[in-house]
Amino acid sequence: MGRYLFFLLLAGISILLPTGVARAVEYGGLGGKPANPDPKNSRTNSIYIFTLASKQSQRDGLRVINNGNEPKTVEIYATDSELASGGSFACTQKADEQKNVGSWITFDNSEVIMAANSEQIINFTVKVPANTDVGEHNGCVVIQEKGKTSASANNGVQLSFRSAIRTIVTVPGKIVKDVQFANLRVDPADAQAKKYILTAELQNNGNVSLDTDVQVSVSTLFNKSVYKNGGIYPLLSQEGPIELNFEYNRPFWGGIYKVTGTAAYNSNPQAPLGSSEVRDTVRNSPTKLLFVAPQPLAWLLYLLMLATLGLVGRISYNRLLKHKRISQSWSGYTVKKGDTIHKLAKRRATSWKAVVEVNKLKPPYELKAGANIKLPKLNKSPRSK
Amino acid sequence: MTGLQRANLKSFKIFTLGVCLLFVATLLAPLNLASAATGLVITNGAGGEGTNAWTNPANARGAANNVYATASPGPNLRITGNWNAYGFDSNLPLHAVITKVEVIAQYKVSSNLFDVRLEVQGVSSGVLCPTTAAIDNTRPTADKDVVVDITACKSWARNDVLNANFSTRIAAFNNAAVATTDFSLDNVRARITYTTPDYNQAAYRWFDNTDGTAVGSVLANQDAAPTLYAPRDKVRLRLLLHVTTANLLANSESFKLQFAQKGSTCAASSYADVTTTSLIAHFNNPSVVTNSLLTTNVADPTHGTDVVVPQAYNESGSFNTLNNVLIGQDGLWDVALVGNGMISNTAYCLRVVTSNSATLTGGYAVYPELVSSAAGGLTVDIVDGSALPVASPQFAFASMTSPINCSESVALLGTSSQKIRLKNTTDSQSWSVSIAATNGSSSLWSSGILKYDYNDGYGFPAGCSPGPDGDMYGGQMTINGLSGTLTPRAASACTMTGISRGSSAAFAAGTLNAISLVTAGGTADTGCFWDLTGVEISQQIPGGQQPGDYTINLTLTILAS
Repeated sequence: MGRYLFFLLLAGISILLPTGVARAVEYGGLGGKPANPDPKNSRTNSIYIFTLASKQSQRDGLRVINNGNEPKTVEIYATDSELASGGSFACTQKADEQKNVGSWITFDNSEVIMAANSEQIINFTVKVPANTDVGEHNGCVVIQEKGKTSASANNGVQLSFRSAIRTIVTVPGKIVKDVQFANLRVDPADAQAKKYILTAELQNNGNVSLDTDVQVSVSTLFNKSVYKNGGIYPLLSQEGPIELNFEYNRPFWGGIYKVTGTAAYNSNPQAPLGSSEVRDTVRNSPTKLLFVAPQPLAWLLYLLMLATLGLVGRISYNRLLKHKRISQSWSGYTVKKGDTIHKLAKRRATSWKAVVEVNKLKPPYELKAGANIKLPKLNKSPRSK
Repeated sequence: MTGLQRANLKSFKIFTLGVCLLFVATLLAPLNLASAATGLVITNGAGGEGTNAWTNPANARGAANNVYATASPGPNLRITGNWNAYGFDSNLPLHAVITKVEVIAQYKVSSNLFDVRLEVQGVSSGVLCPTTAAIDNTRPTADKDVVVDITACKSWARNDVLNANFSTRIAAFNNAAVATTDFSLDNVRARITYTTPDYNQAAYRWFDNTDGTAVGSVLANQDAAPTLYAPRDKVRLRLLLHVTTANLLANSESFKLQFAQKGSTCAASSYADVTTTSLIAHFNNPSVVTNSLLTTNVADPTHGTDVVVPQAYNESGSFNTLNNVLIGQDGLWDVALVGNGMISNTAYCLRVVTSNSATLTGGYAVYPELVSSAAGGLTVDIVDGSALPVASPQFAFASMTSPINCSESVALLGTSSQKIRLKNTTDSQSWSVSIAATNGSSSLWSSGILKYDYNDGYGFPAGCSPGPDGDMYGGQMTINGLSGTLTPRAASACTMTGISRGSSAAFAAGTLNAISLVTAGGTADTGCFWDLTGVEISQQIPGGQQPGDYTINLTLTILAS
């Protein structure tokens, strides 16, 4: 009876917990880019790079783009940066207290109504507070459609979308640039190991972020490259490692492979971000060996090949044995006038085909007097004894 | 017959003659229409001499001026001279098809009493043409043009009449045995009659670009304008020029492409050359050389049943004619182009002109058109299987009964009908996508007064107990960025190169507020999108959590980095 009551109670409280609906309310081609890029620095086409001393300020602009087919009310705000998982760069939320770059930026207009398929430039001021630490400070300029972020009354996860532009403010001083390739991991992506994840772990020990060319590659033991991936990633200065994961499809035939990685960056302290493509300092990862089991079909093909090899070996071995036997039991014979294969075979108690095969004779199997051929040795009959 | 009658009769005769003439003219008119076109004519005087026994041979250069080269052959003797440098190199078009070659000598003799003759021949690449000279024995005592048609002696090409290969041989021949006659040669000229092909811009089709002489996928129907996906999309234009009037010979003509923002019509637009820096610019594919022979495609444009002759792939300057295109056939050219600052969402027209900017004599049956893309952007959207925005997307967590023990609920972020589309149509190759709670690290799952946490990893398993994070709620959300599928834009050059995916991670108050899903590095493709589906999200729900409809707000941020 107590057991039934328990189940009744359980059924009573069996109401859906997060009944799961996540609703996207902001989407539709809203983005932006710097309005005044520096023609000498291509990185400023997509991010903001400021070099400002304490108390200094600078004006700039944000080009807001609505590629959607409907007008939108757009919020524009700045945030601080934070580290996302794997050491990558992320922007804090608008609801968070902005203590760094997010609090240094003031927009002339923080909310605009964008017509469909339109652009607008919103100007802003960056002002570095007094006594700001030397080095690089990161933040974000964010573009987000307004008014649709609150959860509706009854359901689950509600998603919002926003587009952001990294904003770097470097306060001049002693710049340290140092990236290390901390580790290179190779892990199966799933239980079946259909893919492998090659994880490059990097450490930026400097006080500025560095655009670092990170490459991972897989090669055979004979150094034939079979996979390469990577790119130039902005590595933030931080305490923890920065992880980059690349998917490598399991090779069909399996085998043993070498996995290596490199990280190249410009170590010149005077070179600001984006100013130079020169990456003169290269860090190498430890080399990892990857043992890959063949895929199921490859196993089958391997077995087939093995079986074929075995069969060929067996046939070869049998032939070898046969030849050995012949060499031991057959001897040379000089053909005399009137000899024929049939006669000789009958005389030596063997088949004419065996004679043809051993002596590699060709049709019409005529023997010329004086030719040397092999025949089974003569058995001494009892009569001859 | 009176004067009046005579006048009337005269008028009648004139009238009758006029009617007859009109009748004859009417009869002949169709014959005139049907007659072959006379073609274009160039007549140039000699500019120099070769081996020459005439006296003052240079006097026979240029036009008529009554200043003479002279020769006085004795009985049965012949005085021969060669004149050359007619200068067709500069004024005979490269694509000229020669229909007639004539030599014209203007001369006179001092006396017409004796049997004297002027012999005329052309010389092409050292070969006398014709081998038997044309003879003029009219013995003119005043300047006379002797015209010798040497067309039939060979199949003439432009190269045959250039200075390096062409000369004329003029001999003064005294066929008499008794006297000397003076020959005076005022000038020697050559007359070339030729035609040029007419080209008509007949058809076109747009394709995706590839780094090769083959093209990628079709972007639009034949003679239809595609809309570019990104401001710097790379595309290939394949177009047909229909040839009439004369054959278009290999290496005889080159063309270039011009573009214009579309006015009321393409014909009425104002064109400028396509260059490597123009708004629609030539694109340099690294693995293929301009003017290589293109590789045909089954979807190449066609023009009726005309034979299509493949020509050059082009990525800079003008494009050449690699193969002969005969009258009635079409040449197919292939041009690699890239968007380079076109005004967003705007129609542009293109046209072919000759390399000296002359419009096509055969006209423009069609103008290739394209529509530029929307302004470049870095965006994250939810789209359905047809790439249309989803009005009310939903990501379902697994329903579960209110747990007595700590339990895990799981959802998939992104499905085949609700794909998370990460779109980068900017120039920037570095970007990343992360997900975080909209209200920051103090966010909670909430159902009115009921709540639990998303970033508290306390307890065992992690998230099952309230930890010291300032609130009194347990619960933790984990997102596995490596799960699911990231699919690049199909039918384009978009790949996974430079794309790194985030590892599995759990939100942790004060430690980890954002989880990385995707990071693109400096070799990632641009003008592309990637669809993210099936990302696993799991939520640890503390045991004994009260039932309810719980909600939390998450924000996906795409960041140019």
